[in-house]
Amino acid sequence: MLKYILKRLLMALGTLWVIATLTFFLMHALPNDPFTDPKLKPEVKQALRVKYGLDKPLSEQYIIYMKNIAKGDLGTSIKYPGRSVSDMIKQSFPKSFALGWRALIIAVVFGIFFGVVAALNHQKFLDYLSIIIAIIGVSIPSIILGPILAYLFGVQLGWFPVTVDKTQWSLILPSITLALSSLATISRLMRTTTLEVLGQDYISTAKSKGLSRYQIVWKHVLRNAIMPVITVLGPLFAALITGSIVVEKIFAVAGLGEYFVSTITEQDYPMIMGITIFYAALIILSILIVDIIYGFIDPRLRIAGKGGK
Amino acid sequence: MKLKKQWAMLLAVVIVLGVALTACGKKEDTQTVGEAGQQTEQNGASDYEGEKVLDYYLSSEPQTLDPQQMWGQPDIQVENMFMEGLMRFGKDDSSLEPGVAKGYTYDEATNTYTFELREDAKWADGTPVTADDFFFAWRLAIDTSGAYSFLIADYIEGAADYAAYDKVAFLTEKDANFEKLNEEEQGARIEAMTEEELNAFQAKKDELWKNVKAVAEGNTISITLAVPAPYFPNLTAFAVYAPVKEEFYNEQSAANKYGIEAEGLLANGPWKVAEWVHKDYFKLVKNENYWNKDNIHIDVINMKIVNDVETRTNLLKTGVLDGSAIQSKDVPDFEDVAILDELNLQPMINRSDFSIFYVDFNHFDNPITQNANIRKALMYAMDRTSFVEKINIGDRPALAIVPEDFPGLEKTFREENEMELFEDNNKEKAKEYLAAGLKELGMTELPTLDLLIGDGDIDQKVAEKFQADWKEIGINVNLVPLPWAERLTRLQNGDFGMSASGWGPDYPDAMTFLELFESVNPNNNGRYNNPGYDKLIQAAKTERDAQTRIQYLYEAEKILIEDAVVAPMYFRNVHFTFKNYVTGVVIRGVGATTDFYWADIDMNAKNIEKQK
Repeated sequence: MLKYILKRLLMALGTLWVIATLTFFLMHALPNDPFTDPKLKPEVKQALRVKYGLDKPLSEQYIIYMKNIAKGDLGTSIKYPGRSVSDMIKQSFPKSFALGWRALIIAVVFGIFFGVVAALNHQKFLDYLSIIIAIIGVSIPSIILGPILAYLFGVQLGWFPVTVDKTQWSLILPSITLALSSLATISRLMRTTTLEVLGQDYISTAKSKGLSRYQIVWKHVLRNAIMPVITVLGPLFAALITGSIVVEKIFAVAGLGEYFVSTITEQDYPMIMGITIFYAALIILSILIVDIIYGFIDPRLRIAGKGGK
Repeated sequence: MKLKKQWAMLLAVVIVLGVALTACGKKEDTQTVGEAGQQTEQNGASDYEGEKVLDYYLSSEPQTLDPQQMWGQPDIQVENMFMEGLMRFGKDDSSLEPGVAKGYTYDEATNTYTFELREDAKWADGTPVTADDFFFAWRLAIDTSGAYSFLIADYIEGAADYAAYDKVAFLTEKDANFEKLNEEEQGARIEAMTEEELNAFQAKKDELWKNVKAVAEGNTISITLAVPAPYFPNLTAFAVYAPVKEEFYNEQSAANKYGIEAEGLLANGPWKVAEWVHKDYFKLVKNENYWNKDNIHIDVINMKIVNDVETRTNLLKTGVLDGSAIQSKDVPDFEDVAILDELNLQPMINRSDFSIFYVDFNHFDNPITQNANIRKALMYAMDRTSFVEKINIGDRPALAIVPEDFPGLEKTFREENEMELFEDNNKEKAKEYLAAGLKELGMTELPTLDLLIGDGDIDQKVAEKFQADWKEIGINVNLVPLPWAERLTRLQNGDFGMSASGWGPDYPDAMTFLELFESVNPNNNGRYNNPGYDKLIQAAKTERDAQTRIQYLYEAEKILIEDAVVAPMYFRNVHFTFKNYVTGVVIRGVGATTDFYWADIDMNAKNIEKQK
């Protein structure tokens, strides 16, 4: 197992290097540079280019950058002069994480619940209801849902604050907004796999053995139907905890999500790189964790331990 | 100062959704909310013992709170709260209040301003603010190429020479061969400078700094200007002129905190930054060492960082904020007295933020837009009045270059140089110009013209309106939405005919708009090149007599319109409202937009409303 994990980590480093290299050259292929503000005088722009080493040939910049990351130095932001990229990620990430893990729990718990309920009531009222919820969840983007929730429960009913403050209470609306589309995806996935499992011989066997409906669902159906959900959980986890620009904007969350868009339009090179590497590392890591969890849930997949797969 | 990426900023402030609601009756420009002075003295202090807390917002995370480096609005907003220069921004757009200096005198013969420093001006750590703190700051601004360091370098005698002398100049002087090296080799040579050379360079810099005509004598600072600038005292209220305590600067810079964390900020203004949680919120508390603290009524200012205008409106409606800017599309809502009453809000303050938006023409590489008659046809065909009634509700039609209410010599510039320099929406005249232009070009009809615009929804909405106007006189215009960086590339390459642009003032003088069209100005996107115009601008820049100087500026503006150098679209207005229990807030166009220096808050009324 240890050998397997080590091997995977090594591969992860390779993947990260490829991603970092691609991002580096792609972002420098964008027209112009970070200093396009008409309010900056040309001599100031030139001084800034020199300060950030952007006057050097691209290949040289690349080598310098790679050397720095190898030392764990992600550099300093251009948009926010003087602030180190790793500090900025460190400051913003916990705020996105606080929403992300809540959203993940909402999405997983309700997603699985709706999916299973729908499958058990195949083509009955509850099934259609859950399909409707799923369709709504997938088709209403958070840019619509967020303002509606904020207006309805925040402004009109006054039950929740309209932005995130220091209270737990204020995290509910944004977490739900963030969770909805993942919830819908999980419930649809769960419904399909549960239906598949329900048709298997071993379920009929369990039924004929006289097991209670509860026992069948809990011990046999869920355990087998949940596998595909766990597969999507890794990337989903990484996506949710790194935040969403839309949810963060609507609920004024000081999170990471905004950077994924703003750093590119501002061409804040060190931030683009930092945020990309951070996100990539998170995804790779969560996929690895999911792969390890597989082994515990389904012993048949424990081939990994033999160094295979 | 306010226009960052102009159209992107527009997106943030003005979100236009629907068309046509009630026509918006523009109120008289009022700058102050409530009855400031009188009321505060009586009510304010009398029956409330606890802390007076104001809840407000910032529209985005400041890029930096290093006064010498900043240029964005949120940065300047906070700076004005915790810092103070020789003078402070006053209650209206051209007036000044005393700051670290009690006042100033001007000697016309030598073009010298003398500021008298007050003895009780202190830093938040209790140490006095000295003339050396100012000199250190100004030198620092130039040495670090601060965005607004030109406000120092271009004005104070000797500062330009100091700024221009860099390592390249040093090495050129030292070694005749240096000039012959290519750029890369020069760079390598600079990096390879020996310690001895660096010391010599530094010595030369020190020597040049001694020639800068800003000197302390007793408790005064005398500044001799290199150019005539009747507005110079206003500049001393700008962030770049704020003092810096050298010892604190060195200490915090070494800790990598100067200007970027709350600990790295040393206040000498009315409030100090107690907490700065990045991208989240600010907490400012009254500076007990501030010389004028007895006249500062608000003890705590909480500012949450809220990017989204819709969210801001929600916060205002739920009583989390004590006031807010109102976006254009909500203006009709907040003009409704019933809504204001329900939310316990004061009538809106509507005023110009001194930005102008216009269509830039290519004057150097496009035969069609180089034709003055064609440009005039485009300019006269635009219907700005219906545009500000239906699309950008609350803004003002731009029929000149310098925005309404912008200060002139004695009155506003517009009052002095005619409110309107041309007629809005004259399709007949436009057609005549078009016919004349086509004849000159030897064409029977114009090919479709491209108009570069920003890539937001608003840019599209604004441009569509004028596109329709142009179509009415038979000019087809194709809208090309582009991200800013790409648009800039095309502008620089001359690969355009027309482009939507905007500009806000850098300093409180009409020159900040008019010098844009000087042939050498880096922001002269269309590269308009008129020696006569350049001469006028240069004449204004060197003229000592304020009367004569402003005449040059009037004339310059008229040339821009006669030549249709650009086609003005609109002047932007901002709209603010505050709770009834807040008084004395000042909203201004140049410098920090919102100022709570004279503000007070009736906490009893605020607490009653909170309980509800």
